[in-house]
Order: sequence, then structure tokens, then C-alpha cells
Amino acid sequence: MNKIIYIILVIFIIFLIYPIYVLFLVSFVPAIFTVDRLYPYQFPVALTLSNLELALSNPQMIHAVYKSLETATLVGIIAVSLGIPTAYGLSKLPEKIAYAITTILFTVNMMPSIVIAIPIAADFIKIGLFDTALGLALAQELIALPLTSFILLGTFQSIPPELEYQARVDGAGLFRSIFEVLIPLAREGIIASFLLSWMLSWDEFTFAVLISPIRPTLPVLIYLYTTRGNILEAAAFSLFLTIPVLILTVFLQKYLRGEYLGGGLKG
Amino acid sequence: MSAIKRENVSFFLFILPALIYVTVFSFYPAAEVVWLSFHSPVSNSLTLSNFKALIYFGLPQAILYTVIVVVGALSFQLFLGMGVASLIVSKVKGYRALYILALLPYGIATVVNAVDFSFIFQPTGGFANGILKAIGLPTVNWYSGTPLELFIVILADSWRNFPVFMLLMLAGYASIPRELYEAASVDGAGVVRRFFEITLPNLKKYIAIALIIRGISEFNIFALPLILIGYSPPLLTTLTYEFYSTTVTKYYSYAAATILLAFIIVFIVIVLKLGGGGRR
Amino acid sequence: MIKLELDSITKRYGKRAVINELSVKIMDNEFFVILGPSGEGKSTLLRLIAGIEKPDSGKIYIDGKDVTELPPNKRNIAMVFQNYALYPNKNVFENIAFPLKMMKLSKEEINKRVNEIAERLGIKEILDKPVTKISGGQQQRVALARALVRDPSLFLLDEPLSNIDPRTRFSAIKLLKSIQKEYKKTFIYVTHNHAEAATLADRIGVLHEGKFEQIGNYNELYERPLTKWIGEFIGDVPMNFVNAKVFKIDFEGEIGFRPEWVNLDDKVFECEVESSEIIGDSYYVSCRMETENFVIRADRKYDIGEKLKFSITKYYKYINGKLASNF
Repeated sequence: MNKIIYIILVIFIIFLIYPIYVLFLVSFVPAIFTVDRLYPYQFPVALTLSNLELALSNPQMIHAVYKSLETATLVGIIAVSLGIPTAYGLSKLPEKIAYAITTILFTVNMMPSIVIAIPIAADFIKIGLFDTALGLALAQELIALPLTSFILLGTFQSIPPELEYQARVDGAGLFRSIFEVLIPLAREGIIASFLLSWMLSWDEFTFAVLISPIRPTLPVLIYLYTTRGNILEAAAFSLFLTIPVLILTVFLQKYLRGEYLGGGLKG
Repeated sequence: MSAIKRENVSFFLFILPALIYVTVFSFYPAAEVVWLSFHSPVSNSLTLSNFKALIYFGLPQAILYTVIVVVGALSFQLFLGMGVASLIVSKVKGYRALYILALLPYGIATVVNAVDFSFIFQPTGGFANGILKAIGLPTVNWYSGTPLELFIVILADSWRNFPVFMLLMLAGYASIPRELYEAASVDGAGVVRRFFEITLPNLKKYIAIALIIRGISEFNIFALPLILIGYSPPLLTTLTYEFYSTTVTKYYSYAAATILLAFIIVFIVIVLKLGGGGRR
Repeated sequence: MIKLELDSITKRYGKRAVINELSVKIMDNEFFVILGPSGEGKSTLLRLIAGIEKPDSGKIYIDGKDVTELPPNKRNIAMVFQNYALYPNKNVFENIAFPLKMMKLSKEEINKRVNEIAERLGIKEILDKPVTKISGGQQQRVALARALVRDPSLFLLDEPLSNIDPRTRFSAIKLLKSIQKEYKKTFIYVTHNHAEAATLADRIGVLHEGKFEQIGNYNELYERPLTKWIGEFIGDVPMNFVNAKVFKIDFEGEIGFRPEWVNLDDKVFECEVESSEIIGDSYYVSCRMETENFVIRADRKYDIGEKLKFSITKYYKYINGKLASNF
């Protein structure tokens, strides 16, 4: 019986790793051995950084990276700015109301991006937010906000309420007590929320392709290159899309703790 | 107003910005789309002409293929997620490394995922065919028919997204008290029996949550099919986008979008009913 | 002078009235203890006084002023919580200085006051340490220092000694009592620990079913409980409540007497011993007469089944659990 499990395990691990391995091959092996061949070599016969250089020397890509950076950072900032008061309010309201509002927020996640993106794109043209990082960030926020509120709610709930009471009794008004006591203590949840929102925006495609097609973000640029058949560039750009996420995921491990994630599920 | 009610109002003000944002950017546009889908650019009255036109432009196929992809992907991801979670829970050798490895695919952006799998699966050649050739099997044109094309979409999507199922199944396993299993063993239940009588019922709630979260995303997959298989075979999302970017009137895309929204709502209702309202 | 007056305060959670039309007047410089079983609402009452929660009805007056609608930071009170609620991201100095910072005092003034109070409480050496790195006893003194440094009108303490080991508790109790007397402050102190209450309090308010069932010093509560519940609640061994007829007293109700209110030489009644145990340095015997059980403090160990003869030296009459009259 154990032997069967191990065989299954091995097959599964190959299944897991192979696509990542292919990505690695296409990124770091010269194109003549991979995408330019009918049957690419399954092993790295040579290594090169020329694919990276190809990407870096492409001005469109640099612009796309900037656009993605701008947008993702905006999404992170807005997520935290909106998420903190929302989570604070939710942590103070009676359970039934908080539950109802959390449900509403998650209903937002249910709306298909493509359904929302179309009218938003049209409306943005009218108010001048079309093709802008700010406009895109506001749209992508829909994905980030419910999750951020959920995480921050868990964070706030894990802070003993006495600390806030103490600050109030010690003379701090409502806002003072939030800024001086709660927010410093929620630091880790806030950072985790910012990073998660950032990553969600960085990867996002549907809103990006509809709202910001002219000066595109990196995911959209990759798509555009694939439609033109420039799959090598597409692969090289993909590398730049993936690396920050991998780094941040490792970084996030530190901050992703059960207390925050189990957040709104507590009482 | 009692003191409590007054307090609640002030806390409600904290939530107001988020609620306003959500209404303006989500509920209002969605309502806009649904509203417009029942109108045509020429007349001001309610009409089903957009939907009727869609039927000629591939709506039934799009619906069918979307359902196939959703069901296929969810099943595959449930199977993978539950399988890996079981392995991890049974503390098989190297389970910690397995856990970290299994999380990796989720860190890959959907666009990158699409590009990656388009290298692997090509009409001629490509990495997959390279392997088939190497082991003496005939090569496959992965784009030679709808079933194959849908298959590679399901495969690519499930590879990337099954970790969500795995995480939720792990949470579910953690919530089952060990004593239940021990008592069952004493009563003579074997592995399979224990799985069906103890594991599965307790996991139902988590499976429902995972199905809803992933299910909504599956109905919404867009980048992956767009890059991997393009506009054909059509899915509801790619169909919507096709109309949006190629036809003179955008109203067809509104109609397609409305249908997509309807399906998602129906899906959620079904899962909630089956899961016995177990959303918390 | 009345420091704090609560006028018919009610607080509900859902349908349940945790505090039910409670009224009390607490005097200047008084060490007032709110005593009660766990979960009965003592902390809620304290939070209502502090302004952290608002009552559903009733009024709160501090120094004669109606503060019912005022938020906590405007009531000039200090509070010490069970877990001390020291700000984890600040060091000892910053914790103590926090209330002064809120008062917008100058840096020099803050420095002066913090050092003064730290000196008095013996924590000057740890002023620069993070609060997470000091001992429990030191944490308690930091919490006290923070409360004292503002010179508030009223001190609220919510079971501050629950987390201290019994050995340190004794010196902590001494410290609290001496601070209260020295600074001439009004302390309102919540606890479920009878010994603490007895040692510290000028008066004790026993909280039961949302009201003070009885207010008085420990002796009064012990010697003359106003209700059956108080009689059973106060004291290491509960008061006995027995049908009056059993002792041939012509009264439709119960009589209450403490286990030690008996004379073993005066052999008027006889009961059968059911069990016997040692509490402290005395023997307590559970005895049965007719259908009633009660506890008597005995002079020696009795065997099960032995007959014990006694008379009752003092008792009170109770109807429906309430004190009827004196003996």
C-alpha cells in the first residue's frame, strides 16, 4: 500500500514542478534550444541571460512595469486606507450587523470582473480615468478590499480590547486611541494586507485589459505580445512578472499567521 | 435613541466609505450592465433582442463550454486538493516539503500560467509533445478540437488553483477531533469507511466554501482561456470580451455579461442548498 | 462628600439586564469593593462608571457632575485592568507618561511627574525598559504609576490582583492600601476574592442579579446578612438555613445561623453526623436533623453516625430568603 502512495506522490510532484521547470527553461535557456525548436530540449543544454536582456531593453516593457508598479502600490495604499476604518467599524458593531456587512463585501467578490469592467471602462472614459493607474487601481480595489477588511478584522480582534479602553480612560479621544495604540499593534496585519493587495493587483488581468489597454500593465503587455506571436518576449516578460511575486510570497510567510486569516470567522 | 444605538451609528460611519466605494464601483456598474442588456441602442423600451442575437453568435456553445470548464476544473481541483491534504495530514515522509511545493503554483500569475502552458501544449511540437515522442507515443495537436482545447484550459487552471482547495481541506481536517477516528477504529471501521463516514461529513462545510470561492473564479476565468485558446471555443467571458472589442454595438457583450452573472448566482444558490447553508 | 453616585443604572445585553436599576453612593476617600461571583457583571459596572460602556438608563454623577453622556477621556478617572493593559509598543516611561501626553503637558512637567511617581513606587530603574520585559509585579506597579500620575478624581481597578501569585499578592495588597490612604484617593475595586475584599475594603457592595444585594463592611456582611444568598456567599463556610420548625421555633420560614453560633455544652438539640472535615484549624461537621442538613463547627472529629448535641446561640429569621427581624 505504501508503495502505491509513494508512486502517486512522485507522479504528483513531477506534475507540480514540471510547469515551473518549463518556465525556468524558457527563461534561462537560449531560445534556439527551446521555443525556436519544434521539440524543445527538456534539459538545460545551455544557460543565458540574453532573454532577460531582451526584456529589459524593450521600452514598452519598462513602461508596463512602471504602470504595474504604480497601480499595485495605489491598490495597496487604498486597500489599507479603506480597510482599516472598515475593519475597525466591523470589530465594534454587533455580530449580526458585522456579519451582514462582511457578506455584502464578499458579494462584491462574486461579481464577475468582466461584467463590472465593461461599464466601468465606459464611465471612466467620461470622467477621464480611462487608461490611468488611479482608475485601474480603483477598479482592482474591488478584489483587494474584501480580503483586506477580513484580514484586518482578524488583526483588530486579536488585540485585547482593554488596550483601547485604557487609552480612552488615559485621555485619548477615539482617533487618538486608534492611531497611538491600535494601529501600531496591528502593524503586521496592515503590512500583510498591503502586500497581498499589491500582489493581487500586480497579477490582475481582466480589469487591466479593459480599463488600461493603451498604456498597459505588464500582464496585459504579455497578452498583447502573445497575440502578435512574439512568444519569446512574452516568456521573458513573464519572468519579470513572476519574480516579485515569488519574493513577496516568501516575505509574506512571516506575516501570514493563523490569527489574521481566521479573522472574521471568530465569534 | 438608546446609548447603544448611538454608539452603533458612529461605528457605522467607519464602514461607510467602504460601502460607498463598493456601491459605486460594483453594484452600480453591475446594475448598469444588466439594465443595458435588456435595451437596444435604438429603442428605449425593454427588449430581448440582444439575447436573441447572441444565440446566433455562439451563446449556447459558450454556456455549455463554460459549464464544462467549471465542472471539470472544480472536480479536478477538489480531487487534487483533497488528495494532497490527505497526504499531508497522514504525515507521509516529507510532508512539510510537499506542503510548500504544493503552494508554489498559486504564486504564478494567471497570465504567466497561460503563457507557460501554451509552451507546453502546442499544435505541433512543444514540451508535452516532446515527452510523448520521447516515450514513443504519438504526438497530439492540442488545438485540434474543442474537447482537447477545453482540456488544456482545465489542466492549466487546476494546476495553478488547486492550492486553494488544499488549504481549505487542511483547515477542515484540523477541525475534526482525533477521537472520532479513534472511536471508529475501535468500532472496526477501515480506512475507506472512516473517510466516508467521518472525514467527508465534517469536511462538507469546507468543501462548500472552497466550491463557492473557486467556483466563482472558474466562471470568471478570462486571461487563461484568452491566451491559451483565444475566442474559440468560446466561454462566456471570452465571448463577452469578443463582442466588446469587435462588434459595433457593445450591447451584445452586456447581454453575455448578464448571462454570466445569472449563472454565477444560480451556482452559488445551488452550492449553498447542497451544502446545507454551511457557509460559516 | 459623595464622590460617585449611580442613580438607577440599567445595562442590558440582549434581553438580560446585567445591571438592573442599581443605585449607590460612594464617598470621598473610600476604598469601595465590588464583590460578586464571576460573570455577574462587576466588570460591566466598572466599565459603565468609566464610560467605556453607556447605560441603557439611569445617571452617573462624579463629584456632583452628571457624566452619563461624557466619554471616558473626559471623566478624569483612572483605571487599572486585570491584565494591566500596558501599551506593548512603548517602554515603561512612555506608558506612564501617556496620560500626561494626552493632557498636553510640557516635556519638563511630564519628566518631573513620571520620575516622582516612579520613585514612589520603586520602579525608577526600569523606566527605559520595554514593558514586555519586566516582571508581573513590576508591571502592576507600572500600571498603578500610570493611573496615579494624572492625579485623577476616581480610581477604578478591575481585579488587578488575579494574575499575581499568592506570595506577591500580599505585598501588592499592602501597596494598594497604603497608596490609597497616602494619596487620599477614592478607589473602586472589583474582585471575586473574599479575602481581598475583606482586607482592603472600607465598604463592600455585593453584586447579585444586577443590584447591590447588600452594602457594608465585611463584618456586617458576615454577622448580619440581609439575604439568604448573602449568608451563603459570604464566609469560608456558608451560613446554615434551616426550616425554623426543626428547632421548634414558631415561625413560617427559615432561620439562619453560622456554624460557630452553637454551644456544644448546652445539649438542647441532637443531630446525626453525616460527614466531618477540617477547614483551616477547625472541624466542621455536617449534621442531619429530621430532613434538614446543616454544618456545625465542632471541637473534635466526629464519626459518621455519631450523635451531636448542641444549642443555637444566635440566629436570624428569614422569609423567602430575606431577613425578617433580629433575634
